[in-house]
Amino acid sequence: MPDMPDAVRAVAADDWVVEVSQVFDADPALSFDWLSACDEIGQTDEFRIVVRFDRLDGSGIRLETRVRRTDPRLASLREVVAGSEWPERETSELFGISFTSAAGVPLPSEPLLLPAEDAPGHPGGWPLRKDFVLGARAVTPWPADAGGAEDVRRRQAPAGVPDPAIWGARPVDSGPPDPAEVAAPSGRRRR
Amino acid sequence: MTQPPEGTAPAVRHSSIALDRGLCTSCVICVVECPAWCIHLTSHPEPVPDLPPGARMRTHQVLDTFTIDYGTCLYCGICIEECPFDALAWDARLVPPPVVRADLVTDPSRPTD
Amino acid sequence: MVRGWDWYGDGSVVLVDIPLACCGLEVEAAIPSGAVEVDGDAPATHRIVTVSGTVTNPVAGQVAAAVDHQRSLGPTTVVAFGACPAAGGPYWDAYSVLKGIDQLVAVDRFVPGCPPTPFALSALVDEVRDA
Repeated sequence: MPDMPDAVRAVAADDWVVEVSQVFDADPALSFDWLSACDEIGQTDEFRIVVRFDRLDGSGIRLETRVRRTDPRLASLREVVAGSEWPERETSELFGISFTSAAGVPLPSEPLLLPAEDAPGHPGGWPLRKDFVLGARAVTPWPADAGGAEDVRRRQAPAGVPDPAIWGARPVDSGPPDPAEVAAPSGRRRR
Repeated sequence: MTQPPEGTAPAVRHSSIALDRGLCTSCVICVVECPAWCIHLTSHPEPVPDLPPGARMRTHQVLDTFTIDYGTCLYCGICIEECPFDALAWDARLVPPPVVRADLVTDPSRPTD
Repeated sequence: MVRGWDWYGDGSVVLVDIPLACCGLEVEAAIPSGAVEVDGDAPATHRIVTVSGTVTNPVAGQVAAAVDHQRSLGPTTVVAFGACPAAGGPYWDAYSVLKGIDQLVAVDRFVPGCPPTPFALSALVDEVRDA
């Protein structure tokens, strides 16, 4: 079966439930595939929330909307798309996005994957946000910084670990780090 | 496709990674590119021998230690692809399972004949 | 019932796998055609427990308890099969991943690979039987 690119449609956040249900209801061949989010920090201060529907022939359609990154909330699809509640709860836990009733009230949900926020073992943040620092890497010396060859190659930095001056060893009175600066090394570095 | 295309090298089972020390220049590209940070190497500068008369002294890096930590190696092959000198290659020999976790850090140098 | 494999069909080795991720499939692929499915507590001359796959914090305690249970039944070779149970594997940097099951239990052999080839396990089982 040849690969067909998805049809992609951008939707305003206020029209999310209405437009998604219109698209889904109009084509009986569509079934719900997945729903998730993408952190657009570094480009815009937003989360992009994506829902995908597909057909048996492999073709699909994605609908995307954007919400602000601070106190992010979006109307829930769980009344109009069966099966969307679980991925919404997963997205909520891992990105910190609130899915709300039609009246805008955040819908309550038990955590699915992470311990409770105040329980031991909680990672202390939202793991899929791009400013979520991989603590194990931040405290592990990067192998390329050792071995006697530093002086013969350009100074480089590993992907995914912010400079300690931005996250970690900061002056006491310098305030919280800018999330965009923390997230900047999350993309793969090109040589 | 189960056979490599005509005229290309036969496929080698990806059981381990082998290093040809004679080709390694200690450029550190494999170390930089490894996503798991599992490659460590040390090197030191030595004068380049046999320079033409009157040339100023230059140095090159000579490899000392090279290890792969098979506890975190994910067998992605990026180190093999990125090495500009083809010093790394897939090898069919299994890494014998050690008794101690620290012994998963091994030197992949091919024995010199 | 926890499933075990009488590897050679003669009671010499019973192997119990704790499959957590992809490496569990390679353990399955290594099972010889003559192996007999038995209860994981079945008696054997040699016991082997393989932890195959990523050990995440929520299940780590149960995995350790299952390993300790096997040890309580007799001399057991505990095998970390694959990079994840050996040292965390490619997920060593994740907040939810244990950097190797040896953080909780004594491990006797560490099989590298991501995943290891099934032959890496069958060769190790032969070695344990012949020891």
